[in-house]
Amino acid sequence: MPRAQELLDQAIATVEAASQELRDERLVARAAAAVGELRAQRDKFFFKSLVGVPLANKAKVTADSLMNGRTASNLEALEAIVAEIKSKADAPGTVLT
Amino acid sequence: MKPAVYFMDARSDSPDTSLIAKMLTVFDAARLGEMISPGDVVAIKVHCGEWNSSAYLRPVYARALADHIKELGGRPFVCDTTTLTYSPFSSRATELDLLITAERNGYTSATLGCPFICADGYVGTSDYRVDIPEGFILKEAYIAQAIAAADVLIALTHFKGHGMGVIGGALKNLGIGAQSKRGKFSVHMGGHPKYGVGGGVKFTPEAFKGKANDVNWELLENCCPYGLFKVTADDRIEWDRKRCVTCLGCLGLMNPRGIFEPLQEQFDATDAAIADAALGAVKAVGRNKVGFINMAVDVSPKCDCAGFSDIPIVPHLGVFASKDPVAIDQACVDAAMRSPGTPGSLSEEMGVAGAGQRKFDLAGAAIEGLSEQTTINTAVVNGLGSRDHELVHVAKAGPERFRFPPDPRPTYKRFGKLFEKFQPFPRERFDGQGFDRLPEVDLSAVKHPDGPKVSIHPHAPYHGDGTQHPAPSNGHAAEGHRHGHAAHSHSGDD
Ligand code: SF4
Repeated sequence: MPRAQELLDQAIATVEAASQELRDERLVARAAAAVGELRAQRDKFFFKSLVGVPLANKAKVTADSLMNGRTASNLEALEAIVAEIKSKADAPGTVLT
Repeated sequence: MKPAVYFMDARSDSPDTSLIAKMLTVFDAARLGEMISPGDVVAIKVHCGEWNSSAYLRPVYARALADHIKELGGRPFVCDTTTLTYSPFSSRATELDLLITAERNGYTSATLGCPFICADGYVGTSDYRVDIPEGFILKEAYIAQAIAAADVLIALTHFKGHGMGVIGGALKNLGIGAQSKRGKFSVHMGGHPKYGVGGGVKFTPEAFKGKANDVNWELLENCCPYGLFKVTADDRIEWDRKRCVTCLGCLGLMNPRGIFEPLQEQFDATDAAIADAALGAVKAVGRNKVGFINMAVDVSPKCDCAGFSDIPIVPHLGVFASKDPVAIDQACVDAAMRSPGTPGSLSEEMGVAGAGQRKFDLAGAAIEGLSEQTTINTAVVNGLGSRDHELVHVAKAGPERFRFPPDPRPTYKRFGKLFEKFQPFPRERFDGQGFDRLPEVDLSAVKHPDGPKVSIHPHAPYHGDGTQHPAPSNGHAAEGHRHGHAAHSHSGDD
């Protein structure tokens, strides 16, 4: 499996595990939305190539932070990465980059 | 005997350890100048950089080398070649575009002190065919005519990463950079039934979402120089893949949409072919007539052919020279592996920033599974050179060699008479002090990391936050200012 997809899968699994421990229903809904977005992006070329590795890695790191501290600010950090992924995953590039 | 690679690190603390001086010092240590006889035409092959890239070699390196070649009796020219239309908006695919881009990037005959040439003509069909029966995958190469016509070739290479080639070193400077446009088609596997884009890429037309859902659908029809894509009235995308020549211009559009799935074998085959084509360039000029300088500085993860330059993945590695293109590239790859990655760069984001980790397989390549060794290993197989080498540390050449050549006399001899005639220092003012300044100020007050420790000058026009400072309404503020700024005020200092 491409490295970026592997990292993204780990991030998704971690967010899902973390969200089971969340008490606030609004945070649970936001975590589920983030997971949904990551799933929607996962099969794009961006994550099949190496270009997506840095952001997949950031998603994993922020997911780990959420696991360690189930706070709104950690969820916000994850949502920021999800937004960055959405803005970049469809951007045209060149084959050389 | 192992080939020698002459090396100087990238630290600099004197004129003779500047990177320009080091480039000339390793050139001499590798005895590349001995290839040049008086009157020889010497091609200096550079990468002039794509539009908006910024990590390509500063033109001063080529200038300094050209000047040195002139001192040796050679007739230098600096050159690059036309590219394939690698993207829908390429900037170097014709001689006209190449020269415009090169000029914007600083490569002109005026700055270089010798002609800057597009070596393969207006379209890129001006070339010289070479048989390479030793080739691993290619059996012929098409070398840019001006390069093939030269008596001596110096590959002045910016060593960096590359999305397709994984590394951009001496081998790629010749294996892609010295090939004409049709040579580049061959190296990229254009028309190849297995490794070419038309032959091997997985085409999924169903991934096209239709005109209404794709604002750039017209670009899909216009990205191919041969017009091989059509979006039909009933919203399907068609591709005449049999006529594809693998210019790569469509991949940046088709891959992200899922219409194409990139073919790793095409990348691998191209990386191998680069080594064969580099052999072709060496054969075209003559085995003992080609020298290599690798400037491993600003080691950006992607090539200078990208229209941007990311943070270098490792710090400057140094300056290398050799007669063996394989050895010199291997020496650079080894140096990058030994080096820690640059914090905040792609090497860190890819998890390869540790000293001892291979950097380019992940931080250079565009897709997974490529290797920084493919081109190097292939160039061993085809006999172009040797991975094994002796790294020779070169001593600095001394400051005398790198003084300002137009006038190497010391200061008084150069400027004594001039300054007497056109006095630049107004000695007649302020009792010989020349200028209006305070006798003493509290300098420690402006060194604090949190900002100045004196009040803002009452007449300062701006605060720095964009607002204007009001003029003082009475004399107190001015008094306070003087107290804050000057340890000893004197009249007329304001
Ligand atoms: S279809 Fe082939 S020739 Fe046309 S743009 Fe794509 S790679 Fe180039």
